[in-house]
Amino acid sequence: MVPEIKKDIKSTQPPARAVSQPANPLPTRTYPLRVKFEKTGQLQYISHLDLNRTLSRGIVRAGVPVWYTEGFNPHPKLIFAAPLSVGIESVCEFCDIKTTEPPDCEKIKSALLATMPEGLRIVDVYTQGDQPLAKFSTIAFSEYRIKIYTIGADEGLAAACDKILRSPLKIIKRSKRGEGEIDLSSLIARLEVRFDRLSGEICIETLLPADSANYTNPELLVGALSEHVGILHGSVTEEYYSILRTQLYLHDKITPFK
Amino acid sequence: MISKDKKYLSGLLKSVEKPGRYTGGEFGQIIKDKSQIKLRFAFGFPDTYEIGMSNLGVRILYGLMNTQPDIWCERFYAPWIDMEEKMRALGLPLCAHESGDPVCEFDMIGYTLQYELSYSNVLNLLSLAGLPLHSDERDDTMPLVIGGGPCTYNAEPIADFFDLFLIGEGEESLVELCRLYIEMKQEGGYTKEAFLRRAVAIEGCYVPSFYQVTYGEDKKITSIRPTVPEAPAKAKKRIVRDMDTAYFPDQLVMPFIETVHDRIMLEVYRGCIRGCRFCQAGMVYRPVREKSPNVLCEQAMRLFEKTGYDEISLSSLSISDYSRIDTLTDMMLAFTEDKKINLSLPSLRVDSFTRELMDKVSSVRTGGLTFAPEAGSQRLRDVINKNVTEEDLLRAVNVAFEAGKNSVKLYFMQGLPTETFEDLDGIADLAKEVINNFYNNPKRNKARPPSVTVIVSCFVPKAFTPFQWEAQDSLELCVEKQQYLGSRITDRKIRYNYHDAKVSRLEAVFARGDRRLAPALVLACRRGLRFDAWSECFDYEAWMKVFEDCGIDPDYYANREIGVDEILPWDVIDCGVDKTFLLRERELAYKGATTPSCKEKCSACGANRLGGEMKWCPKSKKI
Repeated sequence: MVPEIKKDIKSTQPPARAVSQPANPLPTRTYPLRVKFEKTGQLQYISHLDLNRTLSRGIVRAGVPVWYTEGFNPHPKLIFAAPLSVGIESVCEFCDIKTTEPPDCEKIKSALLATMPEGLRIVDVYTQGDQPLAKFSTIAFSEYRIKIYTIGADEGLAAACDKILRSPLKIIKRSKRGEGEIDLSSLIARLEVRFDRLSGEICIETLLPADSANYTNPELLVGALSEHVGILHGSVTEEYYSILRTQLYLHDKITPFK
Repeated sequence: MISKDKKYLSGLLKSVEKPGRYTGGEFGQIIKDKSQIKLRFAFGFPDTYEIGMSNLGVRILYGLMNTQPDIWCERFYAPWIDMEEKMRALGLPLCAHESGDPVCEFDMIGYTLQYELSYSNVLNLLSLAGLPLHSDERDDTMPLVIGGGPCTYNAEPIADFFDLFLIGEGEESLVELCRLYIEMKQEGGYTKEAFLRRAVAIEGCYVPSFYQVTYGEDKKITSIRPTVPEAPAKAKKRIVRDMDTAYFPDQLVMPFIETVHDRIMLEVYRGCIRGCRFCQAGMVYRPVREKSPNVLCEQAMRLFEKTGYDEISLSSLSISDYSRIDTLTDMMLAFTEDKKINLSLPSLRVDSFTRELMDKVSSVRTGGLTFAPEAGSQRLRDVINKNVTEEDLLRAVNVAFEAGKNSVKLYFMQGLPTETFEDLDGIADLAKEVINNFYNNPKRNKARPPSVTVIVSCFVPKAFTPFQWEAQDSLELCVEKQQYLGSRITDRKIRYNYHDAKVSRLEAVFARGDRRLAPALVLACRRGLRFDAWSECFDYEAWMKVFEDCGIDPDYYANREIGVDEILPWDVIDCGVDKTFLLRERELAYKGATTPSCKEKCSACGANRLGGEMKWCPKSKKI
């Protein structure tokens, strides 16, 4: 009997699923919703799992009619795009949820803004109207801004960093398929290194692969510079660096992911 | 935890394990405008962030203190050893989570003392804060250091390091103490001495420096006397009289990282009607005071809306003894099911375990089952007044097996007074009997074999229990008993875990310790001993060397039967329960006679004196 009911539901959305209550065999229609947010400040130090929990509880606090997974342990389903490593900040993170009612995006956005900790700022909440949301799998590149404050930083050191990152550099890269040796410079899709006089920092802007097969952690660049240019040798009082994800791009390296 | 305005913060946080322990900035943390604040209070939990954030008492008092507009209460925890090493190397002081300001600049530092094995951390944190350890070395410009929590029922080993202890429940006394401080600071007459002299008159305040302890040639205490007229002969425990109107937080600090108890904890009632003779909590939290189901439900709903937690735990010493447990669970389920919140219970007595409760409570439905028979034979269970029979346990496990469960955890204690090797055999036999019951139950889940986990801890005599005079088994005997029990458990379906007897021995030394242990704690702190409750840090041999170098005999504290006519280090505290009651209970224990619960009959323990309202003690006797 249940499949017949399912057939009657006209929807362009992904197949609706039944809610967990066994008393209600009717599948609930769900509405996909995308949340764009920042993960900055102290939030950079929490893991992906911790972020999932933090965001999920914030969504519940905000009273969003979020769809829960079925089964033994129902919980709000959150799907993230290109998860960040611990220690990296970002101003363009994406998370998809589903609601059980047609969402009022503005209302949800302001409710979420009020229920998130500092550092987890909600930038936007949106749907694509009747169109499905762009798939996370279309994300191909991520843009980062790396700032390095290190002893003896100047134009010369910045140039040395630039040179190293443009020349063939064998590194060990871990991926889902295991460890492998790879030329780091071949992964760097775009690179700009400069010395910022005002802050005394070496600033690196770079575009790195972010699709699941070739995801490249920007820490690899910092690690390579530390090893080959001799910067950042562990003095936490005199040296620091920060990494910020600034944008996610599609395959053309020009169109920002939305 | 560490200063926020340092440029090198990021480098430091990137170089330690679990940096989320140190960042602060959690949702629900309270930030105040310093210019409006008259008293800054640093609330310290002397263990890691994950453990400290799980403590309900801290959550209550943090919320309560911050309801005062002119008080700002912040938190601090013990940095893990990797962070401590870096802080010491860089000369970074211990800072509070919310403001990142150094703890040594606060007006008051309050420690919650939950277990004796955190004493070394208490000292280590004072040292990390850059403060002198001894209270008499801290002058009027330095923060007052106060302590509260269960260890204050005998805090004598750390008395030299604290200016004041709050005995009992701190909800009222802590705020009164802070108000007095603010008043004296505003009047301009504040000195530590003057403040403490007025504070000692507040019910529940114990100022150890106002009491002198003398010792005889046989090392035993000869007297404990107040040295100032303001100090009462005994410091009396403070309690909250009405739990329904008592403060309960409506917002919680939401940790980023996973903590031990990361959920809403509802305190259903205080006290315990049972009176197990080894249990300190069951004695010192008397008299029983319950909250009403509707108050609990309101608090639960409000907390859910403010936190988004997906689990609510009903917490109390023996939850099934709550007089309205069915009403409460029905009322709770009415909204937890709709909001997809899991309802969980910490532990259940076997005599109250029913199929109905199991279906209602998701932690019981989905998780493992844990029961605590505590002793292996009926004789010994009667000695400790557990009031649970083998039939009760087997009935409970059969209920569980019929509901599809196949694994059970059983908690026992070893080294209880009068214990023999036959009692240990009883543990092994009971575990085996549980396995047999599984196979004899026709409704069992046949898909998987049964498994029983036996977890055995070592008895530690605690202050204000009928067993406070008893000796702990020697380390050798503890180990022998552990190995004996291991040899008796042969079935591979039974897993056997036991606690490190060395840890329990150190716990016993401090649990019945006196002020003469202070030099050992100072020396241990200097030698870098801390996190004694963590097996990766605990160093028994180093502790024994510390005692030896201080001329302290640990046997005197842990392995000696104390004479009933001796003055006890904790005789300076009045916890409400009379010594005569404890002695009566001890004698009954030796006779193997049980004492009925408060619900059945009043045993005249004396605790109802504290509140006076007899409704808390359902069948109270005039004493």
